[in-house]
Amino acid sequence: MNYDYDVCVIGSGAGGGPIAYTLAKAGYSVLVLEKGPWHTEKQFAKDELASSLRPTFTPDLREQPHVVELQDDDGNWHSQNTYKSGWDFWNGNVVGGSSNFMSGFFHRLKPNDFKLLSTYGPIEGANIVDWPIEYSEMEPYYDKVEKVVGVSGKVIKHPHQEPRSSQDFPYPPTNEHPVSDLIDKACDELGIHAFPTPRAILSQPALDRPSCSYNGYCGNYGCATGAKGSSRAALLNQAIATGNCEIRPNAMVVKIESDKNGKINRVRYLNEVSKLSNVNARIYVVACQAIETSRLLLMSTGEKHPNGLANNTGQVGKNLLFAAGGAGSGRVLYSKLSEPQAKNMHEFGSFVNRAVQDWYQIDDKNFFDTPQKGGTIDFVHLHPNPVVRSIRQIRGSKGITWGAPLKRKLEAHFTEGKFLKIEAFCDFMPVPDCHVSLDSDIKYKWGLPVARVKIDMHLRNLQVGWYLASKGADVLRKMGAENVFSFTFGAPSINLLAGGCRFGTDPNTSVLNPDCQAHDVENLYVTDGSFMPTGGSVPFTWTIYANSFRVADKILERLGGPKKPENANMA
Amino acid sequence: MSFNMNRRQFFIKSSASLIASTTSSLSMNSFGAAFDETWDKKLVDSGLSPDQWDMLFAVQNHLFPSEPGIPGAQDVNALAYFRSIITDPAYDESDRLFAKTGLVELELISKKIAQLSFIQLSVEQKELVLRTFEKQVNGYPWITTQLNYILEALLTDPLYGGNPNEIGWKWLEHTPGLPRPTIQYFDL
Repeated sequence: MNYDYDVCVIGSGAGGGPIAYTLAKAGYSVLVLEKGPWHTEKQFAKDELASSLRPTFTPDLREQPHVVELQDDDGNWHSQNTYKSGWDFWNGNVVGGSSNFMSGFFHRLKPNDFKLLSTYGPIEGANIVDWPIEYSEMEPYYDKVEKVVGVSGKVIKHPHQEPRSSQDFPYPPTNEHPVSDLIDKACDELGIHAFPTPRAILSQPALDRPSCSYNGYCGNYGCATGAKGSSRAALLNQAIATGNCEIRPNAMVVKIESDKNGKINRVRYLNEVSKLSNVNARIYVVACQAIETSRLLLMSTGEKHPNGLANNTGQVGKNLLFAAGGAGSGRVLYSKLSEPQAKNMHEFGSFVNRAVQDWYQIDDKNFFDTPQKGGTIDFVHLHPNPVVRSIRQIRGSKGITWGAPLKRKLEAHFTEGKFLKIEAFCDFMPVPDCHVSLDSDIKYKWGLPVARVKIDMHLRNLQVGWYLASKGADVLRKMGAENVFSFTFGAPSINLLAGGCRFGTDPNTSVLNPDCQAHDVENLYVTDGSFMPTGGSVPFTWTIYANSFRVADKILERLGGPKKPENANMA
Repeated sequence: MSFNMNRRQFFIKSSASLIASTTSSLSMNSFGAAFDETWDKKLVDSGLSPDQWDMLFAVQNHLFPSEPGIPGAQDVNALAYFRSIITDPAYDESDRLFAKTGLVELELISKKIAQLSFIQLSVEQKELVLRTFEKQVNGYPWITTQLNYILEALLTDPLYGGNPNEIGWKWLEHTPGLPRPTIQYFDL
C-alpha cells in the first residue's frame, strides 16, 4: 500500500516535536498536523494583551469551549461551560503548542517516581500504579533533551539528586537576579540545599539559536529570540531543515478513521478554509495535550472501536492528572535594604532560578509515621504582567477598592519592594472521578462534541502541597521578607495536564503499552503527557520531551532504523 | 484584515480626539460627535447613547481620578479605550448589554438617592451612589469590569490607545518587555 507519509503526527508541541525531529532526521517522511497557526519569533512581542489577556494564541471560547464538572462542598456535581467561566484548558494552539509559552522550569522525575506504589504503598482512594519502565530507561532521553532542546543549569549535590549520565548540564545557568543570593544565604542558614533551577532556555548561543535576551517576560510569553526550547524553535525547525518534514498549520483533525481490522487508515481534518481533507500514513502519533488527545480518540469511533479509538476497555480519558501543590509569596522591602542592595533589587530581566528538593521525600513524623512522597519548591519572580498585577489590587477587605486608595495601593505594590513567589509541586493523586469524556450537549461550531472534564482531587494533594509551601515560606521569612504567606490549592492547574491514556502492561487498566503504542491499534502511538500514570512532583514538560524521544526510537526501530541516504525522502 | 486595518485607524483617531479633549475641556458629547465622523461601519454599535458615554466618562474619572502628576482615567484615554472594546465585533453581545444595563441601574440609583443624574452629582454623592450600586447584584461585576478596562488603558502598550507616552508605566516604575509590539494582537 502506498502512503502519503511514513508518519503523521497530530499536534506539534512537546509530545509531537521529538517524533518529527527524530524520524525526519532518520530520512522518513513526516507530516505534522497542527490546528493552530504558525507563528515565529517575529510575532512574539512582549504584549500583555496578546499573551495573557486575550485568546490570541488559543481558541475563541465561544467556538471551542470545554465543559468542566466540579463538586461543591455538599458533594453535588455541577457542570460549567468554560466560555464565561474565566478559565479554560487551552495553552497554546500554534505550531510548537504550549511549549512556546512555558517557563521552562525543567526538573527530571526521580527513580522513585517510576515506582510510587511499590515504594510508598497504596493510598486509599488513589489509583496509584508503578510505571512499566524504570528511570534507567528514561535517563538517556533526559540527557538527550539537555543536549538537543538545550537545558541550562548546574548540578549541585542535594539529598534527592537523581542519577545522571552526564556530569553537568551542557549550558551554564541563565543569568541570575541578586535576590538569588539572599535565597542561598537563607537556605544555608536553615540547612537546606538550594540549587540552580534547570531551564529549557539557552544561556549562550548554541544549536543554531541565540542566547536568552533577558527581557523579563518569559513564562506565558512566546520567546522573541528562540532561546526558549519550544518544540517549534528547538525541534520542528530542525526537522523541516532535513527536507523530510512538513508542518501543516490550521489543520484541525476531526476524526481518526480505522478499518474493519481496527487499524487506522486515514485522518480527516479541516484545513485553513474549513474544508475537509484526508491524509494517510504508515504510523500515526497523537500528541494534542492530555484533554484533547482523549477527546480525539473518543470521537474517533470505528467498526472495531465502537467506544472510541483504543478504548475497548474503557480506559481512554481515565486517570487525568494535573499538577498539585502550593504557592506563596513575600516581599523584600527596599527600605529595609542598604542603598546598593536596594539598587540591585531593581535589576530587571534575569531569573531567580532557585529550587529546593530536600523534601522530595518527606521523612517527618509530625507529618506521617512513614516516609511519604513530597515534591519540589521553586522560587520565582512575581510575573511582571502589570495589568494582571494591578487588577489584583482592586479587591479589598471591605469591597472594591477604587479612587485614591486604589492608586496608593498600586504605588505601594509596584514601587516599594521586590516580590518573590513560591511554587510548590507535588503528585496529583490519580482518582476515579477525574477524567475526560465527550459532552453530550455542547458542540464546537463544526458540530463536534467538546471535552467534558470531570475534576476531583485527593486530600493528599492538599496535605503535601501545604507542607511544601510552608517550607518555602520559611525561606522567605529567613530572608527578611514581609507579608509572607503560603497556601495549598485544590483547583486544577490549567497549564499542566497529563494522564488519560496510561501506559502499562495490562490492556484492562491501560491504553498504551510500555512503548506508548495503543494496545489495540497497532499503528497508533500517543506521545504527549497522556501516557503518564502518575505525574511526579515536578512540571511535566521535560518528561514529555524525553518520553517522546524514547518512543521515537521505538518507532524508528520498527521502521527499520535510519534510512540510507539514497532511500531518503521516499514514503 | 480590512476590519483590523480600519480598527487600527480608529484607535489612532479616537486616541487623538481624546487627548485633545483632556487638554481643551471638550465635553464627551463633543468627543462623540468627532467619533461619529470617523465611524467605521464594520465596528459594532456600542448601544450606549451620548448621554451614557458622558456618564461613563464621569464614572471612570471617579473610579480612577486624576491627581497632580499622577494619571487618572481621562489621562490614559480610558473612555476611548473602552469604546474600542465595546465596539469590537469580537466583544460578546451580552457583555455589551451588561455595560448599558449597569449605566441604567446606576442612573436609577442616582435619581433615587439624590434626585439628580449621575453626572450632576458631587464627588461625595457619586461615591455614595457607586457604593450603593456595589452592593447590588450587578454592581460588583460591573464596577470591577470598568476598573479592569481602566487599568488596561493605564498599563497596556500605548499601541492600543491607552497609556499615552507610557504615562502609566512611568508612574508605577514599570519596565516593559522587549521587543515591544508593533502589531495589535488581533492582527497576528
